Formats: sequence, C-alpha cells, structure tokens
Amino acid sequence: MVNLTINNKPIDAEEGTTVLQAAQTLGVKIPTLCYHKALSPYGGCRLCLVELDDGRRKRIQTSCIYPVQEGLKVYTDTERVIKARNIVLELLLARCPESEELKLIASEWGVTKTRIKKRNEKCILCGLCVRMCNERMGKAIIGFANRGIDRVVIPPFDADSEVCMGCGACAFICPTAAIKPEDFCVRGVSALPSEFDFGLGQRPVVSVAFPQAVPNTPSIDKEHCVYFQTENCRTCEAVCDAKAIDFEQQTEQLKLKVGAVIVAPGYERYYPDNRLEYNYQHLANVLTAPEFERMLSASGPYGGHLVRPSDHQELKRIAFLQCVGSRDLECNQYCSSVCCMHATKEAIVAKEHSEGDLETDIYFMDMRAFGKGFDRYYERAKSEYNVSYRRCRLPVVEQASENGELLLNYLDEQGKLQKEHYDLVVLSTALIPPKNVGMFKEAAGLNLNKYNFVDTKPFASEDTNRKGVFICGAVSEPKDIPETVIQASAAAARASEILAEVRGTLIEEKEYPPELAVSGEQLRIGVFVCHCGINIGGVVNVADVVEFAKDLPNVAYCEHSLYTCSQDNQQKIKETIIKHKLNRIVIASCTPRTHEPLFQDTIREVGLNPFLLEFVSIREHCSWVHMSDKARATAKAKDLVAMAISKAGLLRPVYSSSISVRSEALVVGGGMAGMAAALSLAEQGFETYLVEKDKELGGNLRKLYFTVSGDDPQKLLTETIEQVEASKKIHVYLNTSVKEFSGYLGNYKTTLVSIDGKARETTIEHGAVIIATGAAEYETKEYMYGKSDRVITQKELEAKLFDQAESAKVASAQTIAMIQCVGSREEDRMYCGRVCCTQAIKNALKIKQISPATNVVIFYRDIRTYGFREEYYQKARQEGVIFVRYEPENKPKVTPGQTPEDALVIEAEDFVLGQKLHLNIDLLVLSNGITPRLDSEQVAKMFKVPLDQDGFFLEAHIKLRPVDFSTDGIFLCGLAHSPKFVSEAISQARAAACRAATLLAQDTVKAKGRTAEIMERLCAGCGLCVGVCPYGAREIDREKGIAKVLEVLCQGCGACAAVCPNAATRQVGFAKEDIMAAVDSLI
Amino acid sequence: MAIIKVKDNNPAAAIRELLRTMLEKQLVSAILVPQEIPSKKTVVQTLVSDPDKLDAVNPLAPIFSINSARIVVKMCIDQMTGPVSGQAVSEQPAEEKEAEPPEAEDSASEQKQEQAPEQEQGKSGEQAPAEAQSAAEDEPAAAEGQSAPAPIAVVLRPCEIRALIELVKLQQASLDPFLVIGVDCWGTYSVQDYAAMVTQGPQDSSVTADFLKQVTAGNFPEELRGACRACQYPVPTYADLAIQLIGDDISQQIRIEAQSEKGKEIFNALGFEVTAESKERKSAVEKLKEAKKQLAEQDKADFLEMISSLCINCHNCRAVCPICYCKQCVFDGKVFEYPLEKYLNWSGKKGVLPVPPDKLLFHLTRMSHVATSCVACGQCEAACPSGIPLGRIFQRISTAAQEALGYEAGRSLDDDLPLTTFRENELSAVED
Repeated sequence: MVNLTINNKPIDAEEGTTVLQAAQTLGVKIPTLCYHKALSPYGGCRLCLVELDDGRRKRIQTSCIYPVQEGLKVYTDTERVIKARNIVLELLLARCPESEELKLIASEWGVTKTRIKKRNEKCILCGLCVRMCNERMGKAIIGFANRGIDRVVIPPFDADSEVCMGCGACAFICPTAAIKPEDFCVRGVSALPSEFDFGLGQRPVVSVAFPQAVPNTPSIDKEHCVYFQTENCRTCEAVCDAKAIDFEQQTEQLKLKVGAVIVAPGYERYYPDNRLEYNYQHLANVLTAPEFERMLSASGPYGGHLVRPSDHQELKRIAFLQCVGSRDLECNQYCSSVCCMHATKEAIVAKEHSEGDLETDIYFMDMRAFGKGFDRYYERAKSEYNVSYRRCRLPVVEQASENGELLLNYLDEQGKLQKEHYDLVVLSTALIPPKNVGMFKEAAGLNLNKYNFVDTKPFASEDTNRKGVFICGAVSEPKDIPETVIQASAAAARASEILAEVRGTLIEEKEYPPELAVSGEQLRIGVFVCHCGINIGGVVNVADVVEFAKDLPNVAYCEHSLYTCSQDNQQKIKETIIKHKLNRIVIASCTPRTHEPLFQDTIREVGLNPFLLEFVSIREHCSWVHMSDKARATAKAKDLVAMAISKAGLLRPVYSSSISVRSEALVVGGGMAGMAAALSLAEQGFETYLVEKDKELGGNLRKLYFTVSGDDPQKLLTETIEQVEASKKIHVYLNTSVKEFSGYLGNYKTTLVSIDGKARETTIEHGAVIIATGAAEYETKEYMYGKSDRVITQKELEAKLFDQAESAKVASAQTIAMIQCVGSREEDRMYCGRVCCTQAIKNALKIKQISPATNVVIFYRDIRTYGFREEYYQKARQEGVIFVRYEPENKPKVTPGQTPEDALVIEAEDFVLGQKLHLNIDLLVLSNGITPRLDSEQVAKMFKVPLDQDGFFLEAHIKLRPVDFSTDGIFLCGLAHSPKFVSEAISQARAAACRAATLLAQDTVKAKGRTAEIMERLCAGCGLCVGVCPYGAREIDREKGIAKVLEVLCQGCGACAAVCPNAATRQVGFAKEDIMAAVDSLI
Repeated sequence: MAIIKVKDNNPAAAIRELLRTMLEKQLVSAILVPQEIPSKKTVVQTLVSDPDKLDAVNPLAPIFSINSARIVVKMCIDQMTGPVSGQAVSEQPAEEKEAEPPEAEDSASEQKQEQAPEQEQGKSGEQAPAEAQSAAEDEPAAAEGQSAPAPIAVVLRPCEIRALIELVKLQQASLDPFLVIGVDCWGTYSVQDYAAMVTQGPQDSSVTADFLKQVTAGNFPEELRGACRACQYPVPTYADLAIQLIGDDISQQIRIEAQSEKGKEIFNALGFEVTAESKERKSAVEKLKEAKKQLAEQDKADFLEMISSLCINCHNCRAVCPICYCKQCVFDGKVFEYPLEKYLNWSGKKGVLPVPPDKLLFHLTRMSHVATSCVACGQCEAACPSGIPLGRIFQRISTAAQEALGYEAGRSLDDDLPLTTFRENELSAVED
C-alpha cells in the first residue's frame, strides 16, 4: 500500500493506482474528458491537472496517468492548478465551441467563455474513439494521422473500412459527436429499433425493456452484443461499479411443483403488412394505434410532439381507421373490443397535446362503447373535443404528395366515394392471439378455439379444458383492462379454491431481535448517503454532502457508499449501528417508495424500531431533476439532509396496532353473481352468509332461458343453487334484508331481518362484505309499451321463444321489429346496456330458426357484439335479419293500426337507402336495457359506499380496482357494478371473492405505522375530520364528544390533520413539530 | 304568518308582550333575550323564566355586544356528550312518532323545506337519542306530562342564527332544546357609540326609537358598525319563528312567521289569526341589501398593512368570534413559543424583525379556519382594541371564499361544510 495525501487528506492507495483513481476513492472531484474507466489512460486532454509535491518540488501533472507514490502530496484546487486548468478549458472551448458536453464541464468549473480565437472544430482529439475501437472492440479501424495542427482521427488511408462492424462504440464514446462511423463503415451502421417504441425509437444493446418493467433491471441483447459476437468489448463490465455484469449467465430450466397454473401471456397486435389498401409498409405516415400511442407519450420517441414521421412537420389532420384486421372475413372475424375506445382516447389525447387546430376523424362501422362510463366518454369526445366520427366502408390509403401527405378514399354510408387528405393515418389494428399460444396447447394441452385463442368454458371464462389450469387476460378473447383485471383476480380465486388447504404453509416468519429502548438516550444520528453508482454520484457531490452533514448537531456517524442498498452494505450499516450505538438513522438515497421498507427492515434487524428511520430522496429530488446544475443539486441535497437530520431528532418509536380479522364473509344478493361469490369463498374455506331479498335464489338469471352460443343458463342456475344448498359453509338467508350494518374492516356486525312479516332478526359477525345486489330491467313507456300487447321487451320475447306453444305463435308473425337502445345512451341514462345487441340477435336467430320466413328487422344505433359475439351478428345477417340504423334525434315512430287487430306501423329513416321506411309489424320487441335497482341508494348508504352518476355502485378505480370499493373490506360484483353478461358477472364474483379472501385469510390486519392520532385534550369534536376522511377511518366518539381514529383503516394520508383547525389531529411522523424542525434547519 | 299590532309606536313593546304570552302559556320554559340595564347605556343577554321579569326587554336596541350563538353553545355543552345508551334508541322513536302526525297535515311545500334538516340530524348518528336520554335524566319535570319539556326560546339576530347553524354543523351546539326566534335587523352601533348616544341624547328620547325612525326612512347613521354597513342578511331565514319588521309600518304593526315545524306548533298554540305576507316586504328587503352594498363600496383600506402594524396579538378577536370553537388555539400552544436564539437568528437574517413575530400569521391562520363558516357579524372588529377593521376584512374574504365554494354560511343545515366535500371544479372560478 502506498500512503499519500490529497488536499491534505491521507489515503492508502494500492500500488499502481493513479492519482486520479485515489482522488475518486476519497470523493475529491477532478474534471476529466479523455479519461474513461474502461480504457487505458491517455493524458491527452490535460483537464485532470493537479499539483504534486514529492517533497523536493512542486509540479503540475495529469492525474489520470500519474501513479501514486509514497509520501506524495496532491493538491487539486491550488491557484496554480485552477489557472492551468482554466486555460486548458479555454483552449478546448476555442477548439470545439459547440460541444455541449464540453460547455457543461467548463461551466461546472467556472469557465463560461474563451478568450482564444474559436476554431470551430468538432474533434478535440481526446482519442477516446481510437482507444475504444482498439482496446475494447479489438478492431483498430480508426487512428490518429498526421502531426501537430494537422492531426486527425481517420481510418487507414482515410478509406472506407470493410473491417468496421458498425457497432457505433466510437460514436457512443465521443464527447463532441465528431465521429460518424457511417462515413467509413462499408457495412453500414444501423441503430437497434426499440421494440417498446415499435421501431419509432432506438434502444441500446444493454437496456431495460421499458420504463415500468418489472424487474427494472437491464439485460443484454445477446444477438447484437459485441462480446457475444467477437468476445471483445466487455465495456459494460468495466464501468459497472456494482460488478453486476455476468456474461456467463445461461438460460435455466426450472422445475416447480405447483397445485395450479394461471396462464396469462397476453395478446399481440395484428400487422397489416400484406394489406394493400392500408399501405402500412410503404408509407411512413401510416401508423398502428400502438405506434401512435408511443408518439403521444411524453416519454416516447417523439417526446409527445405530434409530427409526421416522414418529415417531422406538425400534424394538422389525423384519420383513425377502425377494425383493421378485426370484423374482417379475410382475417379475423371477431371484434377486438378495445379499439373504438382506444382510438377515441388517442384522438382526445392528441387534441390535448396539439397546440394548433388538430382535426381528428375516426372512420368506423359501429361505435362499440359498451363498457362502464364509455358512452359518456364517447359523447364527450364528440361534444367537448370535436372528434369527428364517420361511418365508412373500404378505406384505402395512398400517398398524396411527395412530402408524405396521405389521401384517404372511402365509401360513405350511402356508398358514395369520398376523398380526404391527412397528415397521418392511424390503424386500429386487431388484437390477435400471442405467437407462442401454440406452446400452451402443446405443453399444457389447452384447447384453442377457431380463432386460436385459448378456449374457455361457457359461464366460467377462466376455466380451460385442463383441470387446475386457468387463464386470464386477452389470451382467451380480446378484452379491456377492467375485464382483464377482473379475470386475473377470478383466476387467482379459482387457483385458491384448489389450494385452500395448503394456504400459507410455505410462509416463513422472520424473527427480529428484541427492540432496544431509545427514549431518554442521547441522540446519536447515523447518516448514510448513497452514490447509487453514478445515478446520484454523477450529479451530486456525495462526499461534499457527507462532509457537510457530519458536523450537524447530534450526528454521530456519517458515511457515503456506492450502493447503500446492496446486501453487503446493509450488513455494514447494521454493524455500524451497533459499533457507534446509533439510535436514529438518516438514509439519503433514491426513493422511499421502493427503498424505505428495505432500510426499515435493516435497522429492525439490529433492534431499532423501524420508524427511527428518516429517508431523504436525493435521487428524485436532486440528481434526476437538477441533472444539468450539479452545484445546486449538491446544495439542495445538503439542505434536504439537514432537514432530515433535524426531523430525525424528533423521531420516536411507532408501534402499529393490529386487529383480529373474522374469517366469515357476507354476500348481499343471491343472484348469479352473489352465488358465484359465495361458492368461491366457501371453496376457499370461508364461512359465507348469503342474503337474498327474494324468496328464492337466482335473481335475473331465472329469466334467462338460452344464450346465443347455445349454452343452457337454466341448467347453470339449477346446478349453482344445488351447489350453494349443498355447501356446508354457505348459510343462505332468503326473504331477508339487511337492517343494520356497523363495525369496520375485518370486524363487521350486520343485522338481518326477515321480510316475510315474521320480523325475526339475526345478527351476524363477519370480516368482509361483497355487494352483489344486481340490477333491474329498465321500464319504458316509449313505443307504445304497455299500451299495445303487440309491444313486448326482449326478455318477454325470450320467455315466449322458450315456450313451445308461445314460440309457435311468435313465429307465425309475418314481420317482427326490434328497437335497440330503448332508454339507453340517452341524456339521463348515458350508458350502454351492453347485452341488448347480443340479446336481440339471439332472439332474432331463434325466430329465424323456428320460422325462416318471418321478417326480422332490427332498428339499432350501433351493433355492439364485441369479442367473439361478432360471429352471431354475421350469422344473423346471413340468415336474413335486416339491420336498419337510426339516429337518436330521429327515432323510429310506432303508430297503432286502424283497429286493435291490425298490425302496428313503424316509420323510420334508412340511411343506406336514404329513404323513409314504412313497415307493418305484427310484433315490436324493445331492447330496454338495464337500470340500477331502486334500492341501490339505500344499500349504498347502509354500507357507506358510493354510487356513480348512473346509480351503479362505484368501484375504487374504474380500470385497476374494478371489484374493490375505496373502503377496505367491502367489494362488489355483478350487475350492481354495471350491465354485463352472465359469464362476466361470474368472473367478477370470483374476483370479488378473491379480493375478500386476501383479507379473510389473515388472522390480523396491521395498521400502517404512520397513522393519524388524536390529542384528546384539544379535540372539539367538530367532525370535520370525519367528513374529509376518504377511508372511513374516522368517527365521533359520542360519549366523549371527540373524534377517534380507526387505525387499521387509516392510510396515513393526512387529510384529517390538514382540516383540523387546532392540530388536535396529528399525522404521526408529520406533526407540526416535525415539519417545523425540518423547516427551521433551513431558515 | 300573522300580524301583531303595535301600540304607542313601540314595536319593542309588542315583541315584549309576545314573549310574555309565550312564558305565561308555558309554551317556552325560558327566554334568552337582551334587556336594557337600568342606566339604559347598554343591553345584556338574560335568561328569563318569570313573565314579570321581562319589562326591560328590547331586542330592537341597535347594539350588539356579543354574538349570542356563543351563549347558546355554552348553554348546551352537556347536551353534546354523555353516555350513549342502547335503551334510548328504542324509546326515542315512540316519542317522535307522537309528535309527527300534526306536522303531516301542514302544507306540503313548507314541510319539504323544513323536514330535510331534521332527517339529516337523525341520520348523523346517535346524537338525538343521547340527548333525549340525558334530558330525561336531568329534568324530572318532563315526566309530569307526556310531551317533551317546553323549549327555551332564544331571541337572535340573523347573523347570530347563521353562526348558530354553522356551530350546529360543526357539532358544537344542538338546536333541540331551543326555539329560535329571529328578529329583522337593520344594523347596530358599537357598544361605545350606543352608550355615548344614550348619555348625550335628550332625557326623554330613546336611541332605539330614533334609530328605527332613521333606518325605516332609508337613512343609515354614520355610526353604524362596519360589518352592519355591508350586511346582506337583514332577515332571519332559518329560525323557528321570525319576527318581521321590514316592509311594514312598524309604528302600526309587525308580523310573525313560523319557519319550522317547531315554530308552527308554538304559532298555532298562540292562536294567531293567519294572514298573508306583507306585499312590500320582498322589495323592501332587496332595497335594504342594495343600500348596504352601496355603503360597503365606500369602505376601502390597506387591510394587510393595518393588521401587521396595528395588531397587538391580544387575540380578542378570537375570543369573541362565534366560529372560533377550538378548545385550545394552536397559537396558545408550544408551536409558537420560540427560544431566544431563534428570535436572534431571524433578526440576524433580515437585520430587523417586527415583534411579536406572528401577527399576520395569526390572522391568516384564523381566516383560513373560519372563512368558510364566517357569518360576518363583525364581533372581531368590535373587540379589537387597535381598531383594525377585521369585520370588513373577514367579510370580504369569507364572502369570496364561500362564493368560490358554492356555500353560504348559516343558510341551512343541509349544505355540507365545504371542507368536507370535494367537487372537481369547485375552485375553477379562482384558479387563474
């Protein structure tokens, strides 16, 4: 070892290291330019000058090539060094005034302009590219030629190189973007297209798949990595301080013994490569919807700017073409279900992104806004955002001019040829089965359906033909996010039913040492500042922060480390805590979101209460956001650390309370959803109380007699009721309603009352609630319903068609008309009935089956047979069912015939023929849709859960938490949530059961540590906190007249603390004193 | 609605007689009402239970020494807490049911208006039963008849009623034991001005009579309190009984209106002859509001500077504010006690530090706490020894804040407190 001092700080350096390396270990900053960790030092740029004192004389030397010597005294900031360095910087700036990197370095060291005549060269002759190509790539394609002022970097004889492999390493390492390998590489240099950006952007060989990837670790693209091609390079290995690069990793085969398998490989998008009409391959300005999504993304390849890919001109007009590869007899007959809303969303986002007058036109056949809240969104797109929707057929895209403008030819609804110019055409491409779907067929024996999606069971859309193998997501049918999330939970429920007996058997409880008492001890704060490699250290001067922090009051220990979170460093922290008797810990590193629990656990392992930790986010708050201002990023990091240290002084141990959880569940509503939820819960091992108002189970399913796909709902009903009745764990209460509901998460108390007049009351205690109260048929007065017995609803028709005698009577009619969207998709009921289109087609097909001669005319607004149901729409048309579209402003008019025996007359506009239709009809069938139950409001009030504006129950998050309420412990499913098909209701019921089981399976629930607490002496009991608490974690204790906190429900959001006028409520860890202490350390 | 004849050009006497009748008929058990002290220099609030002790009652005296909502709060402190008994739950509905049938026969429109709040109270928890229980325990007198004890009448100005409504919503008071009698108000003088007028005026004259003469003629005396000059709430709208003066020739007659079911029962028991509303009232009230708006326009000052220079941190404004209901103010806690070192540090940073340091902060904090419930009664201004026009400042800010949040303090028990509700676009008006 060699002893030397740098700026008077002693250091032991290994023999052979350079002065620069020694300085870097100490955290002393020295500017460099031609130095690179992975390359041999060169001493070319002269930026790393330092003053050396070997006892005999003082000299200026380049630190990157000077080896350490015993007794050497190094100074990095003497006047002499600064003067010399500034001149070097000025010379470099004069040579290459445009280099951003150079300007940044210069300004960081206080040089902003040069007094020397500018030469406007690009290359600064640092030699990084030469060394990179030679040392790392093993190619030596480029080298220095000539001498003195004529010196240049060129390939031999300045001739194009056949040896160059076009790897781009020289360009990557060049600080001034001077070298362009494409100028001399014969093979050509091409960047790797980013898969995540669909080729609109590029990615490096070592990359993270996409920003939100889990795990968020980079991987090496073996196919393009130079090392795997030539065994050279290994640059990544040299620069990775964490030594995390492992070239030896091999693909492993794992064998796991499992009780159930869930298959969720997702879907892929159709590429219209071979479709001449879209010209997708040839025209740069024709994108697919996912590609356009990346263009819209602020973090995407275009930075969210809407420009034409061909010439980067601002977009003025965009056309979206729907059903590209969907509902198409040539490729995929089914509907992809999500594209209508996706295009609508993209059009709205595009409008929001563009500053000018962007026009967005969506070309479509039927607008399938069938999901919860979708129709309202669609209406907003039209009225608020001026998105224009055009019904069209056979669109053809061609180039209109050299600059990339496009011409769209299409037939409008009347069949007239129209032409429009656009800057960009976005293709809403189909969702298709993943390429590897065959693997599941072969490996797991799963059946695929005719579209090559995984086949699932009717009324059990997570179940495959293989017992124990379940699916979720779009691998079985295209679907939107909520349905996917629902299916995921439902599949988990199915798996959990099988695994109920072994639940929790693989869990190992972690043991912690007894907690040390710290109260009354003198404060000894330990501060650990993290470099996070260069993530923080590259911007924030970490050594400086440590230097600053170690003198702050109560700081007993302060250090910095390369990766504070690494396993060996965690061990070191634990040892340090013991050695220095630290009793408060400050960690300054990345973000508490991901790393606070880790460090809390670390200190707990040495007996400190986990809440004696204060976390400072100097990555997010400093190095990331102030990347270009290193000095101020460092200053801010110091401030934040100082604040944390003052706050840490006030930290007290926090003990979070926990409550026991009852394992029983209450399911309100004994329809199909309620029964399915109860069955799943029972299968998973939980006692379940199933409450139904009616005198029998089944709900709306009782009136469903057949389905369009030919399955038997009545059989499902009977079997389900049998299963419910046979289950020992399900306790059914018929003729019963909920009278009172109280309690909290895991400990509810519900009073049930019999409504058959006997007024018996039962009180049950349970841990969770599932609301499955269903919905009702909408009662209409339109179209003479109730005035003529020739007008019936679809449900009534279905009942008739199911009955032998009645169905013959129906089929004897000459003409039957159906009207869709009766009372749906209108001003005060702006939502889609979702099932009515399929229901109408189902009944129409049945009529045609019994009596092919009967005319069936369906008046519709959009046919919404999403997913595989599209097949039946096609079939209905083939069978001769006539579809006539109408506009809501111009509804069909129904008038009685001359006498009551006469047929009704229906009058409507036919958009295709452009004519008025007059039809005599024997029977009119109304698709009257689904409406919330009248008593929903009462149920909502009783369980303190919200309703949406249409009166359906409102989930916690419409996309991501479709079966949860925002209050923990209460869940929802079935028609109570929104209109849906039976199989969808069953999925949602199972999902709700799964979500409830995650709670019921626990013995206790632990409160979050940092909850609110009440200073009883100060509380005036005004109840403001009760009003603002979004989690129902507050109530007024009537006896004391003050507020109290239900700690297990409290999420620690602090709304109560904010609204409390006299700080009677405190947010643990964020009390006024804590905040004031932190602020005071700054002012 | 009924007409009460006024004798000797003395409307105050007519009100006095009305109250006397109520006590005599035992329709109310006591009355909280202002009385003149013997020197006539001021009025004080009194709780009268003997009909013979009402002689000095004068609810029309243009003086406003305390926002009586504060007194009502104090009177029902024991009503707000206490044991919650399961028994009370089953007993209470029976009592309520008996009271209900007569109400059901009354006009539908009024019922709609008034029933909602009562439902609201029922819903808001076990409060009502709890009160019933404790009331029953405390007052054995209630046992003699089947009916609940007669309510305590409280005679209040509109701004006092509005403050009381806010306090009920903030769970600091209960309306149950009380019968709120509201009286029209043209405005008031400060305690000092009133006393001075009494002393300086001729022996046989009455400040009240002079005042009523002026304001009914549309003239507003210079001495009118700042808050009263801008007041937009001259009439009670959420009382049980409202005594109406505006729009009538008060030398001849005043009117009485029942504004709630509770009020209606008393009204009926008093056996009034039912008449229509005064035709002139609506326009007279509007005219009065308009005139007040004009007066308010004239008040302009650099309020912030006045606070930071004139405030002496006495916190009197807080002491008299009906909405400041905290048990202990944060400004009385440790948060605002600083070590000397900190004073020096602050002073050192700026070179000069005005002390005490939290003057403006105190007012801003108080403002942020009360702005949504402030009824602009102006008591804060009256209590300020430095003459800061706090009433006008708070009135201006709170009016704007309440407008932005679509709320009006004291309008009704049904409106949710704005702090407890969130509407996506509620602050869009002030976003820019």
